[in-house]
Amino acid sequence: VKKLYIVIGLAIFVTLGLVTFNQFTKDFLQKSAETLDIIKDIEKYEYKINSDVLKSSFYLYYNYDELHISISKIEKNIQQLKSDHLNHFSHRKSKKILNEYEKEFNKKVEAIHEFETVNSLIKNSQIYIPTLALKYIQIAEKPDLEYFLLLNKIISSLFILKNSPDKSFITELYQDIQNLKKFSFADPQLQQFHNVFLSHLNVFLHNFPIYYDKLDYILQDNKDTYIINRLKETFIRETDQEMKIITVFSIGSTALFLGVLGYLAILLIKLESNNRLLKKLQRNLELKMVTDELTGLPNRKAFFLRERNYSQPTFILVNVDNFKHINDLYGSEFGDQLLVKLGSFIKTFFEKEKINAEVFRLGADDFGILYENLREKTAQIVEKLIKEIENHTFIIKTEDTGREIDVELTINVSAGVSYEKPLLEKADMVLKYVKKRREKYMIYSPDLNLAKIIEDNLKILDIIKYAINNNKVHLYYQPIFDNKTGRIAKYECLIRITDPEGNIISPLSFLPIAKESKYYSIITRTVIEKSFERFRDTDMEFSINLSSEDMTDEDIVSYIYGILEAEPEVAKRVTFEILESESIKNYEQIYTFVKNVKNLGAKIAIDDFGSGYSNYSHIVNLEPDYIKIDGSLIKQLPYDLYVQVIVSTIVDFSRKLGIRTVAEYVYNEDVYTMVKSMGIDYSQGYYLGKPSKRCCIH
Amino acid sequence: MKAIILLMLTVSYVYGYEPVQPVPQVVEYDKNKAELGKLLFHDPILAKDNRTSCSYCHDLYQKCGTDHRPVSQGIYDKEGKVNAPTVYNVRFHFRFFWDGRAKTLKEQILGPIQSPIEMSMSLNEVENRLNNHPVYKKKFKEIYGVDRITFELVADAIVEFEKALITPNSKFDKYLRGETPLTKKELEGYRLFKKLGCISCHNGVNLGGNSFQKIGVIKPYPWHPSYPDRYRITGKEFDKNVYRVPTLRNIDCTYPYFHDGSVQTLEEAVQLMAYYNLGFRLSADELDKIIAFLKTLRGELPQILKNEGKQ
Repeated sequence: VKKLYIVIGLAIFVTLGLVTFNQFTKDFLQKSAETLDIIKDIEKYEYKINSDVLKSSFYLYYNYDELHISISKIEKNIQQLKSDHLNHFSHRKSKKILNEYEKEFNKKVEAIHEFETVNSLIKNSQIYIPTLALKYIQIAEKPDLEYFLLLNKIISSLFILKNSPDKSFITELYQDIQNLKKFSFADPQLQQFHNVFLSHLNVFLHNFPIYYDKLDYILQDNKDTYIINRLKETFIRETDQEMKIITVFSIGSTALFLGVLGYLAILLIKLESNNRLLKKLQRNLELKMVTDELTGLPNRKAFFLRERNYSQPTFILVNVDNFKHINDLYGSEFGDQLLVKLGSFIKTFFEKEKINAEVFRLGADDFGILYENLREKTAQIVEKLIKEIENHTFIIKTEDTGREIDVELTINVSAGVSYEKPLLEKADMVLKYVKKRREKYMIYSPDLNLAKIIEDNLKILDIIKYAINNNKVHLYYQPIFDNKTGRIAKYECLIRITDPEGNIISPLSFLPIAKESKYYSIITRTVIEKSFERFRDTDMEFSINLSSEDMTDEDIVSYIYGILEAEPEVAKRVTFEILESESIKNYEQIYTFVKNVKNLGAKIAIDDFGSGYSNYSHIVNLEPDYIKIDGSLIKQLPYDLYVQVIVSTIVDFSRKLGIRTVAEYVYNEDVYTMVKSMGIDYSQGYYLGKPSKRCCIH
Repeated sequence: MKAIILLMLTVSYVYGYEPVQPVPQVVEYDKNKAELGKLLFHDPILAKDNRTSCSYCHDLYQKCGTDHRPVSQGIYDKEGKVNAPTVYNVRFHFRFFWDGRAKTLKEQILGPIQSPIEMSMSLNEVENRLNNHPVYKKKFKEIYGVDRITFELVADAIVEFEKALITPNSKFDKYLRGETPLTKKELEGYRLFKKLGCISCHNGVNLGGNSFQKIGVIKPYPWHPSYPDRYRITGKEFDKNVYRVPTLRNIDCTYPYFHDGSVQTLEEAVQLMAYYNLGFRLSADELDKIIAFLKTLRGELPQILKNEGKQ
């Protein structure tokens, strides 16, 4: 851009220069023409002067005004040339010649003045002499013919001399005058006449050479006409020279002008195309900034921009349940494909519903839907959306050992809805709540969060308190079958509490709340206590679930060590199912615990293996006895080749490490058959046996 | 035979060429500047004694631009050395002063203003006086657009006025233009004027004022170093008693005559010229005729002076 300004500046400069130059050229030509006119004028008057001088010499009398008019014209012209026209440095030579001319012209003027004087003197006598000669006849009573003839001879010589004009005649005249001088008269009047006549002749004799010389000087010797001619030629030559320079300069500057103009045009075109490119880039960038790269949907940023435009917004935040599992199982590329499909599915859904909604991808697996109004239909819309998503089979293309295969996948989603700003924050809050509650969706309301959740929590806490205090903490038992024998190999102890109304509460509802309270360790202790009590007098194996919180709670840990030491017979039959989770911060504590309980005879099972947080190296370090393959894998086992691959990998590597495998969530025969065929050691699930208060009947 | 010779001489050498031109009836000049010049011309503010003006020696109304004194009187009536030539028709002169030392009218003005016996002012004094004069200050501002009057402008205004001082429509001019015939006497006078050679020096619009000529060609004219002749300028012996030829326009009222005003009447002046430059006095008849002719050269007052009554 700076370059452009420089070039524009240059263009303006060159243009101005060109305009100035053109003006200069115009002025120059005009002035040159004027100057030449003046010089020619001088020449003209020079010739007029010469002709007037000649005329005045020829005529007996002449109007000297003519000469002076021409002289003053030339003088004026000289002054004009000197003061203005020839002042330019290119006309130095002309000016020098002009000065030379002026000097010469002044000499000529002086000569003219002198000429006028002698001319008048001679003419005065010349005119008068004939009149005077006649006077002789008037005066003389008896004219002397010889004298009169001599007078006439002298008069004719005089005119020959004057008009030739030839100086050689002056000798003749001189001779005649000498002859005339010989006469003398007695009559004083005649003698006076004689003297006057001789005086007039003397004027002639005396002044004629001067007259002759002046005339000669003015018309022949004076160099002014020659100099003025030289001035004219020099001036023309100088002007030509200057014109040549001007022409060259003109061509040069025109070329420069065109060059700069051309360059400017190129720069402008370049700039324009750059601008266009920049604008395009900017638009793309802007679009990119507000567009999710993966799905092509507007992103979180776009959402915040767009949300302002809604006055009665309905905002639905949709999240894929256990999306992390999918990513872990199939790889992030697979997960990405799912997200793309889900995004377009949601978009299509609203198009079909004829709702003018904007669909955003707000985070990893968070999709936002924003539309105006329609609040009375929110429940209907959200329910339908969730139902359609969950009923839809997503077909994802993936590769298996170089072959492209289609994987069919169904997913579960949850949704949070909010009408109030900040929309996302509130919808997120409600979504978290939904997840916790294992519900499908909820609409945010101020009461919901602050009151109801807390109220619910308090209610559950009350129930927990009640259950502990009133011995309402029970164990349910779910059998685990040995796949080889088909017999029950052990029971998993599952906790239940009963509220005052006698309703059995699922641990999913109260355990998270209990974990936050002082009752949690009591619950764990109760479970251990009750399970030991239940299985002490049997030969059945049983398993107890421990969370990472339990294993890092010193009281619980020492309680467990104590009971295992006290009852080694029972300890041999107990298995601790531990859940590896992200929340484990101190693995050393876990290792220590696992090592110690194993030393005391207990066994270790890794629960929900393959659910997303499984870290193989930790598992090796834990040296578990069992791995319980997560239900989300098992339930798809017969229908999903990928799951089969993953599960067979788990089974394979467990076998190699001497770890036995358990399949959870065996809910039908297909699954059971598959589980068995894949060589998994144990099975657990509704198909084989639901959790029950009773156990160990056999 | 006399007749033949006379005829021969007359026909051959008195050629039908008109050496005198009439004064133009209208000439160009800047009217405003000329009016300002007129004011200055008549204003004694330009003289040391505050009493002497240009018009003191060049009376335009009664004395045809002269003072009718033999030699002029300057400030405090100091006597000068030369006779004041008329300022009428000076625009047709080729040089100024008797000795022709000034090439232009502007140059001429510097003479009398600074001459100690004429107006005796320095150019600074002139400027100071005029700049302290509210009317002139205003007029110069109006005409020249200047806040300060310079002598250059003063001279310019006076020159412009002098350029307006022409005396057109003399009887002779009307004759030249073919409007009025001359009387026989006047016509013969003009012919004599030419035939006797007067015309060789007194030619052009002004019948003079266009060359330097000598008095005393045939009969010696007395010479004195104080004479304002060309000799004072050139120092050439030849230029003794050589003067710029005076104009013969309005000659009958520009007396006294010659450079020193020593000749009172026109008749005497003509006779003296004939005597010194031809060698003979004229006959009574010749003189009468020439005088009659010379009187036809009296012109009208210039327009710029005529308008006065109307303003």
